[in-house]
Formats: sequence, C-alpha cells, structure tokens
Amino acid sequence: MRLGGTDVCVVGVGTSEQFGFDLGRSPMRLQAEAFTAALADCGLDRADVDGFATAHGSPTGVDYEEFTAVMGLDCRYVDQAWAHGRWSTGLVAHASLAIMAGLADVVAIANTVTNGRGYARHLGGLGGHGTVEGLRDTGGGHGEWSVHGVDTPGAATSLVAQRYMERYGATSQDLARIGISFRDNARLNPMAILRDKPLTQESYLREPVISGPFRRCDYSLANDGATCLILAAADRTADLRTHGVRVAGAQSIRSNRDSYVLFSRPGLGVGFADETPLRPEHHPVYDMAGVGRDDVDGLYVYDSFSSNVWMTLERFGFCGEGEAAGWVASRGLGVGAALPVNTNGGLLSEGHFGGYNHLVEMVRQLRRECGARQIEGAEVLQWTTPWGDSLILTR
Amino acid sequence: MSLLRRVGEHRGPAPVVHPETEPFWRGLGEGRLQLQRCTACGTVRFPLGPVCWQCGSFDHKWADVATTGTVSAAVTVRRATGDPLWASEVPLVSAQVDMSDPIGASLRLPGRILCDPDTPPPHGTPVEAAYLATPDGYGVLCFVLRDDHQEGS
Repeated sequence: MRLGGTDVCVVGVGTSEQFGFDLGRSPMRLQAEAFTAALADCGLDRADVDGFATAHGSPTGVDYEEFTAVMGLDCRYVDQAWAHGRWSTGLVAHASLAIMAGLADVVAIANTVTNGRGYARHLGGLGGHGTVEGLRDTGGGHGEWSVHGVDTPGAATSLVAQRYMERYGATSQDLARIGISFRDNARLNPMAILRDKPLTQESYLREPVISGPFRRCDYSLANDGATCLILAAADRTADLRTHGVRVAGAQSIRSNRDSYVLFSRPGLGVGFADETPLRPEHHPVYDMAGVGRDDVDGLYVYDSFSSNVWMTLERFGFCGEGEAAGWVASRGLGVGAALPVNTNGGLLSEGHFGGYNHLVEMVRQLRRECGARQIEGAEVLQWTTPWGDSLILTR
Repeated sequence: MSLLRRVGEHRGPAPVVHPETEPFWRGLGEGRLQLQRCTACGTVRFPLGPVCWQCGSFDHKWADVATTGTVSAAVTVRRATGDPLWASEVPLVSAQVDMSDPIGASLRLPGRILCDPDTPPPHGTPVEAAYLATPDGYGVLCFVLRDDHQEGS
C-alpha cells in the first residue's frame, strides 16, 4: 500500500503474557500487557503512540476511550469497529491509510477477548453475537436464525460445511485433517493453548457431534487473551529495535448478497444468493503487493471453523472449485508443506484472538523469530478470509 | 392456496416482530406463507426488507408464495450453545430450503424440519412448509417431509 510516497510497516508486536481459557485477568489488564509488550518489542514509548484502533469492545474486550484513559495515551486518531473477528484487515488497512495521510504517526491496534468461562463471567453482557444478531430481519452475519434453532456461528457454519460436503463429496476424514494439521502446528508454538493436546483421526472421530458434521475440534476456542500490533511509516523504522514488516497489499471485505454468510463462499448457495459454479474473482491484493499467488510462502486463514479453510482456498484460487478437501489431503497444511498454513495453530489450536494472533505470527515469521515452526526463507505471507479480505505482509 | 399445517408450538426465542414485518409473522400464524412481492419488477423479497434488492423499488404487496421445496442443506443441532431456550429442544433439525416456483430469482428459506434428528434429510429431499404457533398469535415457519405430509393428511 502506498499513498503520498509512504510505505507503512508493522514495527512492533505483542501479546498478553499468556493465552488461556481462564487467566484471571481483566480485559484491560490483558490489553495493557499486550500493548506494553509491543512497545518494548520495537523500542517505542507510550508518548510516541498517537493513534489507536480496536474492534473488540466492552464488556468482553476494551473500548478505545477506556484504553487511552487508563494507559495515559494522547491520540489524535482513533478507530473502533464492531466486536467481531472480521476486522483484522480493515483495522490494519485503515491505520496504514491514516499514517499515509498524516492523521497519525504511530498507530497501536490492540484487541482483547475474554470468554464466559474465563474473566468475562465477572463482566455481564454475554450471550453471543449469533443469538442476538440472529434475530435481525436478515438473520445473523454467519447465517444464524435464532428462531429456527441456529443461533450460534457454529450451528450456522455447520450448514455451510454440510452443503459443501454433499455438493463435492468431502468427508469427515477430510474435515478432521484441518484440525489435526493446525493442532500439529500448535505443538511447535509455546503460546498455543492446545499445544499439549495431540489430535489424531481416531480421537477426532471419537468426539461427539455438536452440529451437522462439526465435532468439537472443528470449532475455534473460546478463550482469554490480547494482542497488539504497532504500525508506523517505513522511514520511522531506521532507529527502532526491530525489522519493520511491510504492509504491502490489502483488499477489503467483499459485501454483497452472495457474501452475506461470512464463513461460506460465493456460489456455494448458502444464504440468499443462487447456487452457481465458483466464478473467479480478481484479487487486487497481489497487484498492490507486486507479487503473485505463487510467491506466497505461507498462508494465514481465519479458521473460526475448520471448513473456512476449504472456502478460502477455493475463493482465492489456490485450488479449483470443490478441490480444497483433496488439496489439503495431498499437500498438507504443516510447517513443512509446500504452502504452510496457520503455522501458529490458528484459531482452532493457538486460540481465537480475532485473527490478530495470525498477524502477530506473520510478523514474527517474516522477522525469522519462529524457531521450530519457522518457514524457511519467508519473504511473502498472505492473510485471507472466506469473506474475501486479504493482507500481504512482506519482509 | 391451501393453508399451512400447524404442527406444534414454537418454544424457541420469540421472533422480533415490528410494523414493517408484521404481515409475515401474522400470516404464518394464520397458516399463510406470504412474502413481499415487488410491484415494479415482481421479485419476491427475502430477507424481509423495505426495498427490492433487484430494482430498488419501495413498492410491494404481501403475496402468497409456493409452499413446497427441496432441502438445500439440513443439519442436526445436538448441543444448544446459544439461547438457553433451545437447550430442552435439541436435538433438532434446521435447514435452508430451496422453494419451488420462484418468481424472478431463487428463493431459499430457513426453518426447522420436523423429522427424526438421527436422519436429517439429504440435499434434494422434498419438503412442505408448515408452522409452529407462538403465544402472540404469530407463526414460525418450519417444514415437514413431503411424503410424511401426504401419509399423515
């Protein structure tokens, strides 16, 4: 991305001291830990931060003005999206544009989640997005219909997986491969919540079914923790402690009648639009970054549910229509695969931190800090979602 | 247009009914499946909304639509992790159904299928619309297997 001759880099990353199911720490505490860690990572001071952005707000996260007040920040640019995981590209793209346009010099993007069996049980206001948004005239954005018993993103997405499996002949063994691969990746990541819980085809198939074809390991985790990314103009990086990672390309969420159900993909025939063959889309993120799909050294997918991986691989053209399950079976998703996917373990096994944890991992991969799970020679990494947004980060 | 069968009481969360959508829910409570049909271009609207997504017109009439269709996808929800009202109702089968005889564009409607939860119907299974009554006199759309209906009525 480039406007006014300025490139933007992610200069610092940080997380809460731990990720876990019940850390006994408030959202504010967790976010303060992540923010402080990201500042220490790059060597900037609180006083250098003049922009702040978040998506997850209270009560399970932290609203922007609470955070600036508690942390003693003085920001001239702020942004708060909507308490969903879908804004990772948007927050990074908008913060980059704000820096390019001179609205801010240094923007911190911090996000915190806490869950109903963790710290959020002290905070009220729970119930889940799907239950409330599933009562809209249009139903929920993941395809929830609360009056019809489909009032969670999981139940709604199980319909997506069911349609895909019936239409293309994918099996439960195919579904299992996704969760197993990301669990294997997680074993190499000391921060991954499920790093010590190996998963096999046998143990997967022994799990009780929750909805449709989904078992527990097809669901991402409900957990506590926080992440922070610090962005600045590329010319700020010279006097910083870290190697800046360039925000090389971005494309937004696509929003239309055939992208209504977030964890489906166009043409599948879930939601309002017709069932059609998969129509190739233009993905300007590659041109903006000056790379091709074949140049991507690692792929990061919003894996709130296992089947999201199928949707994303097909939508972005890594394989053809209906081929994703076979693609995963033949190529694998592990660190040593031709195209490693979610080397951190993903939302399924590292933890659900809205995808910002994937962005933290991408930065650390491009800085070559990932030890046993390092993608050798990583230069170009891509963030993607089933609903069509993407970021490309380069070394 | 024959009336939909009332097949039970709705025990899940109450639908949000407001003046612009009331005819849909009231109609179901009277056994009628009616949606907004655009008076400018004939498109049947779903989801409910004030504007035609095809032509942009605000004008519409509430019109009866076909009450038969085929399963697009159906799942058995075995664990209710959202609204606690569903906890005593699971396992239940919920689906999206491709309705027959669409006017203008495809019409796919959500609803439960009242059938054995151990055998959720596969893609293509014929179903017929029915309704579950709410305490306020409204109805919630659901479906029954078409063969069942013929045998039962």
